[in-house]
Amino acid sequence: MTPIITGGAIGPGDVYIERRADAQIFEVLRKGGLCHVISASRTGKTSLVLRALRRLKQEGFRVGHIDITGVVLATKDMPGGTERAVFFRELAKRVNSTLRLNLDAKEIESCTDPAGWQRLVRHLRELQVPIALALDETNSLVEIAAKYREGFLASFKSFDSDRALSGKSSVGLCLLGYASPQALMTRRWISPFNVSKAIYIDDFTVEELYRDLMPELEARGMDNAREVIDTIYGWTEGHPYMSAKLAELATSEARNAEETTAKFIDRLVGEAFLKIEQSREAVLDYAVKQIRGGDLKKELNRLDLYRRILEEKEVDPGSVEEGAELQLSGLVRSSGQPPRLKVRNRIMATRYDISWVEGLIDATQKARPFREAMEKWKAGGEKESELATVTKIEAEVEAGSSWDLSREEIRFLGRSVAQIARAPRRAQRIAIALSFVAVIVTAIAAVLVDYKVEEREAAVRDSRVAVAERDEAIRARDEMVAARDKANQDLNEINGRRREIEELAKRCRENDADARAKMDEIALKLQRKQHAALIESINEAANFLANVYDRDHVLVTKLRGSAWYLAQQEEGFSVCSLQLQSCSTWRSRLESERDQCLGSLYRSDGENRACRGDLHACRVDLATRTTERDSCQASLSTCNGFLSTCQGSLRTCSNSLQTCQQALGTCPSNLQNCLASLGTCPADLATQRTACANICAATPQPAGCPCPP
Amino acid sequence: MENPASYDPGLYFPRPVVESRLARRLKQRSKLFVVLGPELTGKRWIMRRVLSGEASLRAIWIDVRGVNEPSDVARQIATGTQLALPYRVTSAHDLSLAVEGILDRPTMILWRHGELFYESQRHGRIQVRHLTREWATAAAYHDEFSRLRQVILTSRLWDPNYWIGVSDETVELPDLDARETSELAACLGMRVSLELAERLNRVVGGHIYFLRLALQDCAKGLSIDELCKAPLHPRGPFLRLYKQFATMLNNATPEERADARRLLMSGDSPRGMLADELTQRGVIASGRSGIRYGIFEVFLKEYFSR
Repeated sequence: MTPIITGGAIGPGDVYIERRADAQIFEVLRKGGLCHVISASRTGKTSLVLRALRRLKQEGFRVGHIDITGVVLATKDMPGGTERAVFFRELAKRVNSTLRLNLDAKEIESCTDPAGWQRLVRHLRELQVPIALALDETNSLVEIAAKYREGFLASFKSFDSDRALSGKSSVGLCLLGYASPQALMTRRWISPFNVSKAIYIDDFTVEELYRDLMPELEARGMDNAREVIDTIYGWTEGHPYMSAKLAELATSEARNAEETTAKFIDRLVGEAFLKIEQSREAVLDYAVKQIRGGDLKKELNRLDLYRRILEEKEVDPGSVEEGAELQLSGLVRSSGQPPRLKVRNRIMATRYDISWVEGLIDATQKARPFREAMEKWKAGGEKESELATVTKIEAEVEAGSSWDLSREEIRFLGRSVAQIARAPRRAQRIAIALSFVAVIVTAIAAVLVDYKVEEREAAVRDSRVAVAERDEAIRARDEMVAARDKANQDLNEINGRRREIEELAKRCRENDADARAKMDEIALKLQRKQHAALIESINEAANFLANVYDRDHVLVTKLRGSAWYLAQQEEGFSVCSLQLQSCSTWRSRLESERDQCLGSLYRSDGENRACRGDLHACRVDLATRTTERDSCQASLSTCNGFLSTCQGSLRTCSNSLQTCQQALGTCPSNLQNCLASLGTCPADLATQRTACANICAATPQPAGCPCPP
Repeated sequence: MENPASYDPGLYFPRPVVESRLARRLKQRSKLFVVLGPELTGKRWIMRRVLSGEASLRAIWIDVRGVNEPSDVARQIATGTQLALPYRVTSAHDLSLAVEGILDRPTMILWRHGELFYESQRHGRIQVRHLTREWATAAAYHDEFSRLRQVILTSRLWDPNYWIGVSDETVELPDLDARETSELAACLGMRVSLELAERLNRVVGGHIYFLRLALQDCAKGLSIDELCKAPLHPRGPFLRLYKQFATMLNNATPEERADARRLLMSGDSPRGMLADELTQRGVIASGRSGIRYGIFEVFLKEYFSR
């Protein structure tokens, strides 16, 4: 039974339904080109590219698949400034290991920026080895700094240019993910997606399902496989994951006796997709999270577009961005000529129908002030001045019952409320604190649980009480403002009276003209004296100030010089500190290496001494054995001498024997003589043999001596 | 009875339905699947039982509680299996290379306490979590990694989509029904009728560990009838567990206690850290409202009646 895979990439031996994209991606990678596959989650991107890589591997390609998420994770928690270097170095390491290139360690270490990455890719091309590399989950790149993310992606454009210039390439690259090109690249003129081949993954056609899936269903004992596939297709319209899941369930779940095929599949669809909690089904959760989230305005646009698609069945794509984003969510797809957007399939249309989307739009609109305030706060660098006010929080609370606050929103809400509680004016603080209590109580209720009606009404009563108290505080404030205005009026009255008194004084002075004239004269004289003195003092002060400015200027110049000098010194010091650190590190490393060397040297010495001892013992042994060998050789030569003598005697005896035999034929009477002479030969031989044995017995027999004892 | 540290075939209670599902996963060479069940419900034992029939598959058990960095995984592999890893592991990538080096035969890595992959923000643990996905994907095209299979044993699914994206199935351990309770009693040498087993299930719930505790204590003298009438009987096994439960609630914040009260009154599931704790213990089930096992309802009633 061939497994029907519903989770993860499809491997060899699993049921695989081939599509048009399979041949396309294979051809592009085989020719050493650049391509990208951008589509919604659970459409088979990874399975598609892995299948192509397996085929290329069979043709002698070196293939590799790298999950960018792992590379991005390696850069987390890195000190500032090193994130980029770690990203590229990690990427180079993975390229090296997955393609089994055995690159030089220096080459990997030097890959710390987009230029280094480009050098690496050029090096891959120079290897003249056919290579196919897939970079998956490029959506993870949104988590890294835009500066070097865009540099990294832009390097692929250079890759394509180099390929065009050289005319051929042995390195095929493929980028896969579900993030749109706009999300990854803000500078679109250097986007690699402009030059790479886009591979579109279509949903399965029913013919493809008949061709590749039906045999497996029949092999599992399903009699009406065609009918099952037709019913599944009616629900999924070829959605890869949904079709596979329903097919797998259709073969593993038991059908009730009276259930028709249609009812059976309907039941499976209900259990797997319609009634299940959204968070437990990846494809549904992903779709909703993609359509919601992000910029509020765009979210409302997406929801509105989806509603239009539900109502009108088919919609002109219109605004490219929202239409493309909706497609990437997996809720809708584009089909037909000219292209029209329509709901992906019956499952999506049933679960996420008009009432669902309208409820969502309503909640989003209600939370609009809050969401807008939050976006402004985020854009402004999370300044305290941009935190939400009470009104906006109340708006959010009102919408909160159908709003699932994200952690970011809860954080914004909490900080806003905390800031409001710290408001400077006492009267406001009291009013707002009471509102804070009411708001927090209702906000927590809306975020955490679904209240029952009476509890909710109690909370509303509390908030009404709090609002009433707040109104009272506002009235108190208004009274204070009124009192302040009254005080201003009083002040104006007093000023008026003062002016009247001045008028009177003036008239008094006018009436007393003589006295006034004299007084004026005196005053004038006094004024002139004072004026002269004042001018003198002003001049003195001006001179003094000029001196002070001069000194100040000199001091400032000196201070600037000192500051610059100090900065230079500090920079030099920090460089020295870094150098010292690295020297310390080197030193400790060298010390440890030295210790290791010393240790191994000591060990070597000991071994050396042991070897020498053994050598000496061997020499002694060898000398002994050499002596023994020599004596043995001497004995052997003596024995050989005797042996040759014996052999001579034997030959003589043999000759005698022959002679005797000849004679025997003619003269038996001589036989006795011959036998007599022959009898002496063995005796002689025995005598000589005995003599040899005596000599051997006298000489100690060394070990291994071939002579018999 | 304390939770036995090691698998004891003599104490194992057979659960053929779950075992057959797991065996099917093994037979189909699933790359990764999840075994979900509250703590003390026998996830590890069931896997050991199923693996005992697969002599050719090498099993490596990794406890996520001891994983803070990728090197911790390497250490557990080395000490648990006496395998010599071909690389010194200092990063996630090194760990991948090291694991690749030992995949000369079919191997299964079983991750215990998989819920801890999400409990902390430890970067090293997050990297290891991601490696489980990478290896599952690599199994589709990489010769060595095609011999690797993984099982995540977890008491809750924090983010079900994380592993659902690469896993073939989530096998959730079902609770024992009355018939199985009666069979469990028979395994312990007791005769318990179906009716009595139903009653016990209603009071305690279908949690295998709690049922075993109850039946074992009932074998020592306390009758099932007495236990059903007074689950927190001083001679029973649940009073001690109740005290632990009460300590947990005492340490919770007032809002969390209010959530727990609401759970008792109306079945509304709490959220936040308390929900995680309760899911792990089996008080509530992910995605479902209400209290899962009757004994926890007893605990909550007792706690809030003080």
